[in-house]
Amino acid sequence: MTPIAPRAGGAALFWVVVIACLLAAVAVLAALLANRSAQSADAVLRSQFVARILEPDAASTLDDAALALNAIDGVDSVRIVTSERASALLRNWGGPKLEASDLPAMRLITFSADRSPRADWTTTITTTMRGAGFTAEVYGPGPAAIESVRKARDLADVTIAIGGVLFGAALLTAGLAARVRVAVDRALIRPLADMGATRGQVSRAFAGRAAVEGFTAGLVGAIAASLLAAWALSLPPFHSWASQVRVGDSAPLLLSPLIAALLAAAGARSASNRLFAHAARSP
Amino acid sequence: MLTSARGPSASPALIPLGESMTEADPVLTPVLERDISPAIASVRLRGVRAGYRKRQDVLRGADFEAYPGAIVLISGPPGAGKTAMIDLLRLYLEPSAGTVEVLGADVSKLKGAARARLKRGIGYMPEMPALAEHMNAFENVSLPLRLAGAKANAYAPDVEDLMRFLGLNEQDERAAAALTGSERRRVAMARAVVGRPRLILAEEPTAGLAPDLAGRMLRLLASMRRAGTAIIVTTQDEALAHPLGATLWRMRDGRIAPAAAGDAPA
Repeated sequence: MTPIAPRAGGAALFWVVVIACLLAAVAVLAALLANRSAQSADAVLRSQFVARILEPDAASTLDDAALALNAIDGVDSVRIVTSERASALLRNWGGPKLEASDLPAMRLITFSADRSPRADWTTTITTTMRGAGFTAEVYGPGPAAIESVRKARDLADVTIAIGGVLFGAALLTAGLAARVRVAVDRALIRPLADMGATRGQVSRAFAGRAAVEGFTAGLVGAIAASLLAAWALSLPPFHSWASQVRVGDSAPLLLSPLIAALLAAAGARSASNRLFAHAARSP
Repeated sequence: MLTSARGPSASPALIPLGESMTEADPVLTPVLERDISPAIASVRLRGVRAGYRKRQDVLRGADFEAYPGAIVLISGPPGAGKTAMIDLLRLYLEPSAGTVEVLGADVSKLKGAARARLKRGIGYMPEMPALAEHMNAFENVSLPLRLAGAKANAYAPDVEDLMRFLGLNEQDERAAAALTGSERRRVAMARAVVGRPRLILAEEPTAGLAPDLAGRMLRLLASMRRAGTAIIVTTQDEALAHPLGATLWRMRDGRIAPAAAGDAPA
């Protein structure tokens, strides 16, 4: 039996919703990953420290200092910076002609915290090392590094906001498209009203159609977004993001067809009620 | 003095009632749940004034009534108020003054679902038929029954008989958008009568039809009349009154009056 609300004729609007849902899903996914990458970079940066061993002034003491550092509660991944590595770092500023032998012995040890360190942790490290017989200076991430991470987080926040706006706009598009679709079929509402169809019968017919079409469009958009995201994450610039993907990231993809269906049905219901009121009674 | 259109003694008629139509309704129960009584007017207008947003004085104090089993022909020049009269009777137009009773119910007291239920007792054939363009002829004709909650296997034989009578092919799968003007008019007429309504409103029912099809249309209306349905036809062709055995009323400048014998057309 042919449905009361015609199925054909809404292809253009269907694809509008598909594209809107695709863009929304991609934007939300990108926002999630950008935010997670920024958080991860922030956490890594804030847990990285460098200890410069000042005394005893002997190359052999570096291994002992590393052992002493490693024994401190909360310290993880202790690594001695070799003189070649230190020279390589300094060469960035001193130029290629800089020889390792020209440089003072840096005697650096990098280490990381196994959890988010307190603000006074460097002081704790210094004190503990002094107790173990070492005089050391401990450096956390510099202001420039912290500033760059802060900017990355701000950028992630902007991405999240854009993703949210796009998600909302896509869903609004689904609702508005459903309204337009009902308006296209407005000529059908007049004879239905004349035949004694109730407002509920008419709105159910149009809302049901809109829900099916909204869900289908949302699903197609979500599948397309998944494929696009999978392809993008396989590209070299986004390899680091691929490791950030979690199972929960599929939530917006799963939700978009459902929400699109709900909003499309609501939009169609509202439009059909309004048109039915006009068709049933002269204004 | 008010002249009314009275028809022959009515026999009980059935309106297919869906479940939603069987609910008790204080306004409609007297109308829909009893046999047609020839004593109760199918339509009664008293001092009705009505119009549209852009022209508010189309009907200027109309008094009119029609009883079950009557066929009333309303004629008049363009702009006389025939369409407004039909719009009023099909519950589309609200009167600004006076009272309108349709099938025994005061329409001003009807809202929402009750109004829709009353509309199911009215068959309306507009001059320009508005069909569900995506449905074929059979689906269009049976749409009122479907809306009333009837089952397809229950109504299909009656619908097919009706379509055959009007020269329509019940197997035609073409969508309504592909039907000819004549087919659309016949589909609209079949749709108007398929639910065996107690009131039929038809605008120029035979316009644009071949003589044999026009004759069938009139026979169909006559058979509905015998079943106790009140039929109101608006037309500019007063010659229809004779074959239909109709009472002729004339409209002019928003007023309606019965045509006296020997009156010249307006």
